[in-house]
Amino acid sequence: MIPMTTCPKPPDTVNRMGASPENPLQGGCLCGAVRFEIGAPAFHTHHCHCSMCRKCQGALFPTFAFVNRSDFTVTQGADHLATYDSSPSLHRHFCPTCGSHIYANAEEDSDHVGFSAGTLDGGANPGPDGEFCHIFWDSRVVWYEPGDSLPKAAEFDLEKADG
Amino acid sequence: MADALDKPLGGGCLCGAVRFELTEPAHDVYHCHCSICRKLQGALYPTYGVVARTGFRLMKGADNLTTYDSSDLVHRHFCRTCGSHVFEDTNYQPENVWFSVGTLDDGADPGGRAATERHIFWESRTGWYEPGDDLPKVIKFGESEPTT
Repeated sequence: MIPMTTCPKPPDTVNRMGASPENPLQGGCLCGAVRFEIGAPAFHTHHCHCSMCRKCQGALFPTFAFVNRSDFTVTQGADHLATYDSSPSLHRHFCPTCGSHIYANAEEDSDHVGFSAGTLDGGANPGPDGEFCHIFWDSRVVWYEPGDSLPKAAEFDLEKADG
Repeated sequence: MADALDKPLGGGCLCGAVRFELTEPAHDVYHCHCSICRKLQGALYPTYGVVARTGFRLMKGADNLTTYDSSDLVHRHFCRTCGSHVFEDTNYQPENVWFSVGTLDDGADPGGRAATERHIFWESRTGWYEPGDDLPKVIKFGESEPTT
């Protein structure tokens, strides 16, 4: 028997104002070997429904947040990270101890870094004032829809988002 | 025990080094909002299927798996090449296997959802994203299920 429970929404107290150089937002893998921080709020956050991200992270739609490369710093474990190239130009970096996917970088866009939003400490909001959307919506599984009101895009176009 | 599938469902990691088959549908499917799963899979709520061990066949890549013990009782196996979290074992229910539903080929339906699909550890969800589906939301597993 599964109890039906209504829970209040948890307070969005973490990073309500967004990250800043003086008050960076912290994140890392589950085991703690890899740590990072962002010195500015993410300007774009998307839930990706492509088949590659789904397989790579095992979730139905991993969530990635984007910051300028200069605002993303691996503070611990940079030399520990393993890298998987899911295409010749897309490099996905994960902790080889616990398997957490931390961030990815694309060669065609060396100005930005996309990191796994779920790796932020405390479930923090990566960019409260940024853009949120779903991408590769047409590739989603047919049997589950998240049911939110965010925009759904067929593809990924960061240039449109980078404002 | 669930009825056997007419045709096994294939699954595996992104790079293809690790492959498995389900010969039975999942008998439990849930979207997990706990902080451990969130960090481990980098997603806001990873989705797991629970299947009887008799219905889960590791076809390829057993020697390419790394195991991370997120507690003394939960053993999570991922591909050391591409980092895909494929499945996990627990000491609670050695007769079952937990697999990452996103690793099924072509986004396949794991089965078993009608009676069980739900959100768990709902109170641990992020404060900034709220799924709008109408599935049940529960605070934790049943007493016989793992809590980490």
